[in-house]
Amino acid sequence: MAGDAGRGHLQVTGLSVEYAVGARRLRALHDVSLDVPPGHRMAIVGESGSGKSTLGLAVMGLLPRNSTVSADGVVLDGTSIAIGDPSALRRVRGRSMAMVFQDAKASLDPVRTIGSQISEVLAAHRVVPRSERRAEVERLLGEVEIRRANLVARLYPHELSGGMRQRSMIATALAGRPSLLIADEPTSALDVTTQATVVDLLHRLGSTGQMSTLLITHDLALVAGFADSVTVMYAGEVIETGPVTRVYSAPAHPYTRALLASIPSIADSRAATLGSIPGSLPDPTQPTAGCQFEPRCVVGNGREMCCTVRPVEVTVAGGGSARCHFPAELGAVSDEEAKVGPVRRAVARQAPVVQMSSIVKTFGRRGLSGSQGVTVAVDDVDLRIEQGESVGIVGESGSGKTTLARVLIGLERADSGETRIAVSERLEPVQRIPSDFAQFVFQDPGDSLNPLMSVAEIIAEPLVLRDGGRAARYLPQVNDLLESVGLRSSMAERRPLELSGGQRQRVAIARALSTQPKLIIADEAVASLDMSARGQILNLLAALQQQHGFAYLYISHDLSMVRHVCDRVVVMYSGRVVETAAADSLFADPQHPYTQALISAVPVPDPVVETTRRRMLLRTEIGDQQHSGEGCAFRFRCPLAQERCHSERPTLDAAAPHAVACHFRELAVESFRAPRASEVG
Amino acid sequence: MTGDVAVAGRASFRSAWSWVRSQPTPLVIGVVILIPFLLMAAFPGLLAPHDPFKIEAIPLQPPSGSYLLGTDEVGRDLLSRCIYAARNDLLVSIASAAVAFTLGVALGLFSGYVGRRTDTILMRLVDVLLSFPTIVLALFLITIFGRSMWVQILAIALVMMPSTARFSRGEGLVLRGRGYVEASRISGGSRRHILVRHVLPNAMPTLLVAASVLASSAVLIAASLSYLGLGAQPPEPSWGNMLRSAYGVVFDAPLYGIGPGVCISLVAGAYILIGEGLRRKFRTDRNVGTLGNTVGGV
Repeated sequence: MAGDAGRGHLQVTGLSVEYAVGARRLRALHDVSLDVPPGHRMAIVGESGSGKSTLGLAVMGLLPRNSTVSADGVVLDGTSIAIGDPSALRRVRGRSMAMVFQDAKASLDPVRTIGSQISEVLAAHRVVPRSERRAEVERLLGEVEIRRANLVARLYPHELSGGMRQRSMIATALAGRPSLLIADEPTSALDVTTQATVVDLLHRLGSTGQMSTLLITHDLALVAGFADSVTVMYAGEVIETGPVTRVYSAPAHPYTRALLASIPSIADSRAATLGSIPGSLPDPTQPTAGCQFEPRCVVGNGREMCCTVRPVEVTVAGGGSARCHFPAELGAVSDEEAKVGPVRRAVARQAPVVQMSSIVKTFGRRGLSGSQGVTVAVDDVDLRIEQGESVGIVGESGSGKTTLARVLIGLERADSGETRIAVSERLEPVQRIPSDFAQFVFQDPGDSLNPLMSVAEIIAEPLVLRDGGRAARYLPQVNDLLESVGLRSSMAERRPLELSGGQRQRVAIARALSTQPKLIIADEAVASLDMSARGQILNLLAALQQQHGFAYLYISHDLSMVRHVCDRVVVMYSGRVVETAAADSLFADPQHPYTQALISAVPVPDPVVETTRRRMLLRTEIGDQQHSGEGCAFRFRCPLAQERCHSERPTLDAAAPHAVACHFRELAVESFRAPRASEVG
Repeated sequence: MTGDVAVAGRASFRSAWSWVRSQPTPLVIGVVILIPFLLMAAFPGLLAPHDPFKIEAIPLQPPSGSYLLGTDEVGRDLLSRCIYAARNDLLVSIASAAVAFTLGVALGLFSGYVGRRTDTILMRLVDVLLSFPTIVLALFLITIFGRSMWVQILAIALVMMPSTARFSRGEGLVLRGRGYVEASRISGGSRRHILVRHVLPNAMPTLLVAASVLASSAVLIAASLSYLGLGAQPPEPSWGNMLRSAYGVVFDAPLYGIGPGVCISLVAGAYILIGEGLRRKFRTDRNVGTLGNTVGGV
C-alpha cells in the first residue's frame, strides 16, 4: 500500500504490445514507460495509430486475443499487476482500476436500468453490504453531478441524454472506488457544451488525491484545462512527457511542437495560419531502427543518427523528458517552417450564389397516426451564400445543420420554402439544385468513396454523369485535379483502401472540384481526420478557393475550425438560426446566450488560459426538451428565459450585419461580460 | 528453342501452382471436390465403367471388384448410374441457383434501394411466396406444368427466389445510405447508374456467399424432388431417385444408398466451401492490395 501519500501511483516499465494480423505482426507499443504519481491527472495524447488506446487497454488487461503483451513491470500502489494473467487482472479490474470508454451508449447495457448496472459492480467487488447498495448508487450518481439520483437510477440508458449516459458510465467506473481511472476519449462523442461539463467533472473527481486519472485523447485543447502532465505518443512510443504548462509553452520534441501548431484555437485571430505535418505514421509492420518520427521531422531531416539510433530519453528543463537526439536544435526552427499556406483573405460583399428562404423540413411518420412523432429538423430558416464566401453553420448535434445542407444539395426535399440560385447574374428559383452547381464533401472519406472503383473513376464520375463517355476519356482532367489537390498522378490507378485518410479526403475534394461548381458544401469534412491531416486539408481548401473563387458552406461542430476558415457564421439551435454575423464579430462579441455558451465551452490549447478562465454552463434536464412552434427554442436551457420567451418567438433581422434571434439581446451581452453565479471557475 | 519453351512451361506451371497456393483453402478444397463431378457431368460415357441402362448382373449385389458400388434392384451398375446422374443434378442445381440469384438479387436490391412504398409492396409479395413450404410449392408447380427438367429448374428457382430477394434487400437498404451512393446522387447519377455501378458491385461479396448457399440447397431440393418422383424419370438416373429405390430395399442391400448419398453431400458441401472461399478471397485480396501498393507504390 502506498500509505498516506494518496492512491493511484502507477508505474509502467518497458511495456510492449504486438498484434498478429494474418501472418504479419503489428507493433502497437514499444518499450513504453510511465510514472503516474498518486492523485495525478495525466493526459496521453497522440494521433490514431499512435498506440494510446492500446496502452489503456493493456494496463486494464482488455487487449484483444491476437495480441502479445510483455512488460518489465506494471505496479499500482506498490502491488505488481500480472499483465499477462487474465484471471488476476479480472480481480483488480473495476476494483483498483476502472475504465470509461468513448461511447457510453455502447458500454451500457440497454435492457437494464442505470441503478442495477452500478450495483452490479458494487456486488461483484463487495464494496458495501447489500443493504447499503441502494444508498451507495444514489451517492455515486450524486458524485457525478446527476440531480434526482433516485429517479435516474430507475431509468434505462436510452432515456438519458449523451452527457447523462457518460456521467452514469463514470459513476459505474467509480463504484469500485478505484485508485486508477482510465478515460479513453470520454468526450469525443459528445457535443461541445456537454463535453465541457464532463471534463470539468473528471477534473474535479481527479483532484481528491485518492485516485489518479489517465485521460486518453487526441484533443490537445481539452488536455490544457484538465491535466497536470502530458504524455505524447507516436508510433507506439512515448516521445515526450512533462508538466502540462512546460509541454505547451516549450515542447521539446519536434512532433509535439508540430502538433501544437496544427490545432486551430478559438482564441486566435482569423489571420493566423494553420500548421500541418507532412507525411503519415510509419508502417507498424516494419519498425525502423532509428527515431520513428524521423521521416516527417524538420530537425532530423535524414541525419544518420536519427535514421539508425533510437533516441534515449533526455531530461528537459522545466520538467519531463523527450526522446530526441537534438532537442536543443528545435528552437532554431522557426514556427513558420512548421506551418504551411495562407488561410485567410478579405472579401468585399458579393452577389449571392444561393439564397434559401423559409426552409422547413420535418421527419417522421405522417398519415395514419396524424402528426404524431414528427420532428422538425429545420424550422423556417433563411440562408444566403455569396460568391467566393465561406459560410460556417455551427450548432450541437440535432440542431438541423446537416439537414439544412442536405436540403440545399437535394438529398432531402424540403416541406416548404424556396431555393434560388444565381443563373447569369440573376437569382432564379429551382426545384432541385443542378448537379454541377454545387458539390458535397462528406465527413468520412472512407464511406464516400466507392471502395471498388479506382481513384480516376471516382474523380471522373461526375464528369461521366454530366457529359457521358467512359472514365478513361477524362484522364487529363483527372490528372490536373489530382495535381491541384496535391496528389501524384500515379494515384489515379489506386483504390481508396490503399490511401490514408488525408489522401482519401483529397480525392473526395478533387471529385467535388471536377465539375467546377460554384458552391462546395463541406459537412464536417475534417472531423474524421487526424490532427496533422486536418491542417493540410483546411489549408488546401482555402488555397483552392483563392484559385477558383467558389463559395464554401462548412458544417461543423468545431468552433475553433470555423473561426479559422469562415467569413460568416450561422449558429443554429433546434432547427432555427439563432445568430448570424461575420466570423470576427461573432466570436469577439457573441450576443445570443446559446452562442455565448457554445463559445465559452470550447477549450483553448493553452493551460494558462484554461486554468484561469470562466465557463458558462447551460441548464440541462433529463432527456431532450421538445419545443413547440411558439416561443424561443432555447428557452428551456437559457439562463435569461422569461415569460415572454415562452409565448413569443424571437425573430431574426436578416438585413442586419449581426443578426440575433433573442428578446433580451442587450441583457445577454451585458451578463456575458459580467461574472455571474452560473459560471464556474 | 524447345528448351526455352520447356523452361517457360515449367515456370508458368510453378507460377500457376503458387497462385493456387495463395488462394483461400476452402475455395481450393471446394473446387477440387467439384471438378470430378463436373467431369462426370461433361463426359459420363468416358468415365462410367458400364452402361447405366443395361441390366448387367444379379440385382442387389454388394460392392465388388467389377461393380464398385454394387448393382441396383434390376442389376444395373450403381457406379455408372451415379456418374450419369451427375449431369442432371449439377445442371438443375446450378441453373436453378443462377435463375433464383439473378431474379432475387435484382428484385431485392431494387426494392431495398428505392425503399418507401415500392419496397413495401414488393416485399409483401415476396412474403406471400415465402409463406409456402418450399417443397409444397415446387410440387404444385411441377404437378401443373409437367415433369420436364426445365420446369424443375424454374420451380426450384421460384422457391428459392424470395429468400434471396429478402437477403439482397437488406444489402440494398444498407448501401443506400452509404456516402458514395449519396455522392453519386448529388452528381446526378440515375437510379440505374447507382444500382449497377455502386450498389451491385459492393453487395457482391456478401451476395456470393448467398449464391453458394443457394446452389447447395438447390442440390438438396432437386434430390428431394426426384426422391418424391418428380425429378428425372426412370430409367434416367438421378441421385434422388436412386436414394428412393435404395430406401425400398434397405434391408436387402444396405450399401445401395451410399453412392448417391455421398454424391449429394459432396456437391452440396463443395458449393458451401466455394462460397466461403470466395468471401475470404474478397477480403484478403484487399489486404494484399493495400500492402503491395504501400511497399512498391511509393
